[in-house]
Amino acid sequence: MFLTDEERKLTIQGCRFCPMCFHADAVAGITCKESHSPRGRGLILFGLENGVLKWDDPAVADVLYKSFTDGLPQEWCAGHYDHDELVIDARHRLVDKGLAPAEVAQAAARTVASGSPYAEVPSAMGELLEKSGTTVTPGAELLVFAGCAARSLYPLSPIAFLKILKARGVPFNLLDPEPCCGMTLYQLGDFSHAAEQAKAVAQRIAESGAREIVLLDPDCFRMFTTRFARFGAQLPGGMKVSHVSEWLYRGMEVERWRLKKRGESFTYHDPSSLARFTGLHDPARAVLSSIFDQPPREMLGNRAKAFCGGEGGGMVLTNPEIAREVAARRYEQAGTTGADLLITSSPASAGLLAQVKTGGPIVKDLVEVVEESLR
Amino acid sequence: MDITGAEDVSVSEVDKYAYSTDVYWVPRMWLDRLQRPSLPDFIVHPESATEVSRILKVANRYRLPVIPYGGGSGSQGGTVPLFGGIVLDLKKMNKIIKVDEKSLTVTAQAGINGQVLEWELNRHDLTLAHYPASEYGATLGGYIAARGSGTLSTKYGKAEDMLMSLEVVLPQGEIIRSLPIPSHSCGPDVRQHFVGSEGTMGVITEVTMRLDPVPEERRFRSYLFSDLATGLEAGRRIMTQRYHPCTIRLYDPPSTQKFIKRVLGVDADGSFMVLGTDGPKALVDLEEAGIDDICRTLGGRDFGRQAGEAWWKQRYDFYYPPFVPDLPDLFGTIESTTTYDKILPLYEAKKRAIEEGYKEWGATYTGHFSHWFPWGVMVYDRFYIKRPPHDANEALQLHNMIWADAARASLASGGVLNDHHGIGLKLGWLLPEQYGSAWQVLAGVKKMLDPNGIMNPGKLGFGFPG
Repeated sequence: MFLTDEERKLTIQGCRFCPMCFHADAVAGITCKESHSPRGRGLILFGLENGVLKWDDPAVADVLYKSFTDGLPQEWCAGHYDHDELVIDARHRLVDKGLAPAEVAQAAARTVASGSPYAEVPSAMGELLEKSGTTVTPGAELLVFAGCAARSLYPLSPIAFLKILKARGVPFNLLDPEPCCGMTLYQLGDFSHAAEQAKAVAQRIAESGAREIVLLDPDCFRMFTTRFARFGAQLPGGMKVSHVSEWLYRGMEVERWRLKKRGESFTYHDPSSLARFTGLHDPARAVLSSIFDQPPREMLGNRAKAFCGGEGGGMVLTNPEIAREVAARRYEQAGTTGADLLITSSPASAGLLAQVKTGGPIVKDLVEVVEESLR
Repeated sequence: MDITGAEDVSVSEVDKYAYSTDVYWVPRMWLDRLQRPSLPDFIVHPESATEVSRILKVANRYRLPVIPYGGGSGSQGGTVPLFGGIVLDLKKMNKIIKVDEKSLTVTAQAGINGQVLEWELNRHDLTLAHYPASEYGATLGGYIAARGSGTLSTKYGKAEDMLMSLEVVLPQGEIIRSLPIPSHSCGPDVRQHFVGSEGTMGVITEVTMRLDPVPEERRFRSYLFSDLATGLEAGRRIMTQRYHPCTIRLYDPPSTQKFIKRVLGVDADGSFMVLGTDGPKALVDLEEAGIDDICRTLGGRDFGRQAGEAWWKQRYDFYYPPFVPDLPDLFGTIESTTTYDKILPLYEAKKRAIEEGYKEWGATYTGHFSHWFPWGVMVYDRFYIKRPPHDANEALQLHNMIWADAARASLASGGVLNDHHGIGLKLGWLLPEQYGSAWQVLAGVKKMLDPNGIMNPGKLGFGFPG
């Protein structure tokens, strides 16, 4: 769907014998297996295409669902082959053939039933409002979209953002109940459920009357801005779509917010969807620069070359141990900077990094840091 | 499975397929044309020398071939499991054991990825200064096992020059260590039985390498010479006057036209040279001035810094598809090294062997000279045939003929079979011919260390298992 047949063929040809991005593949870095590297996947897909390997070999699904699809191999690739889209395309074929792992169907069922693919029960919107001490304004121009990861894994982010809106006196609305935008299902290759979710979200947004939407989750932001149209989901004309880091940056620039200065050292983890798929590296850094006395202590792998934090590709659902190990490595990289705080701009990343936190930096989402400085 | 745990052993068809090739043209062509590949029976991921030792003991008991596997980035078929057996993937042996900031050394397990190691060293303001095009995929053990070279080897040496000491598991399972330092007067150097051995003499499991500080300054400059001979003379003078440029890349006229056109957007004839100097700024100033003097004396036209900086920034880009030669073309890098007095005749002999010998196939030949020594230089040359036979066996036959002619042209001109890609399957059959009567030394050591012939059979000229 997202690769033409020709692009798909060229990507398989490009990847199948090329070892030049092994170092950039988060799964290969953990399992150390060739079949979990971009070259291995490319070669295996070549074998599947040509009938040398069989799609119904359970090892095929195992290999294809061990990938973060985080865009980093493509970022290193001088030929810019879209390896991750190739993997998602192959997952879609597995779903179509009924050969995807059980976790994929479970994620789809949960998404339909509870509005989130995660096993953790998502927070209700009323709960977020109560904990933030805020209320919605029906018909408000600004719509806040928390995202499943925030609701299920890290509600501190939406709570903090709603507090910011209250402090700034900005009226807002929420979708209640908030549906999932379908991003995780797209990454898992379940395009039909992803399309259903995307269309449902677009419909609900249209009904809300909002003119601007702010997304807390970079994956949702990527879905809205780069995938909705391809899934047939139409946002109302003129709708402004922003990631929260952009929205905060604009607010601070235009309205000259007065924020309490902080003296701790910090490092910033670029979530993959901002690092590579939407190119938003600077707004969060600019916001943080206006709060902290020191510039960020940049980690190994930052901006477009940021390493995955473990939350991509639906790996939290299909291979949680590998996802946690990748998050632990990212946390360790943050620790080597000597920073007091590890800040990211993604509830999913913050949630996972906080889970693997050891004795190093304190993990915060950007909105939490801004909210603390507004107090 | 008792040795490593079940999760570190695979017999899946999917995994076997993924380990059936490296970057060598022949297995790639074989797979591309849907021929039956050579597959391993098992893939095992050990995490320690002790595990490797136990695996080798089992392999000896059952006479199973063992193919040590690092990044699989070699271009000579060194990791192709010709006779099945156990592919021993060492990438889980990826720990850095010690960075000695006083002596400037690092000790690490052999399976660590080259780029990952370099990142860690850079945190200490240190560098391995080994920048092969395979850096992102290759492993430290692979650097040593294949006698690898990097883009800055003219100053920093090949991987083998950086080697301090190593730990090896011998084919029958004994774990040995070489002496802790490379310079001594304590008899022959044990390390040399394993450097370049491509997994035929044992499994390298731990390596200590010399390091360098990250240089204060690194600069590039480029010159255009009237012809290849003048460019070679400039390089010879720079090296024999004992300057220490970190890189000299001299392009032959066909490569010059392509390179300058692409990077600088100008058409020019002659031989183009990219030069790099690095180190403390004062030293770089001095070296750059001396090298500039040599180049200008020989009529070199100064092209400034742009081309060299662009080359350094994009130095690996040429090795990614679609920029690197790829199927369905037939191609090969046939580099060879010799002394300064023989290098131009060697280049010309190989050019003739390819372009005249395979004229009916439209074979083309280009080269550049990129690893320079105090006594000679390497030509990194390639042949290309745009439309090889479609039949896999005919294509293989043409491939082998052209390689044999290129290799024998090197040997007849006083060169060696290979500079830094290794021997592997591709050139193994020519190794006894190159060594002549000296081959008995290598063959004798192999027989003594690996009496059952289980270690990477069919590579480095050592023939069949058992």
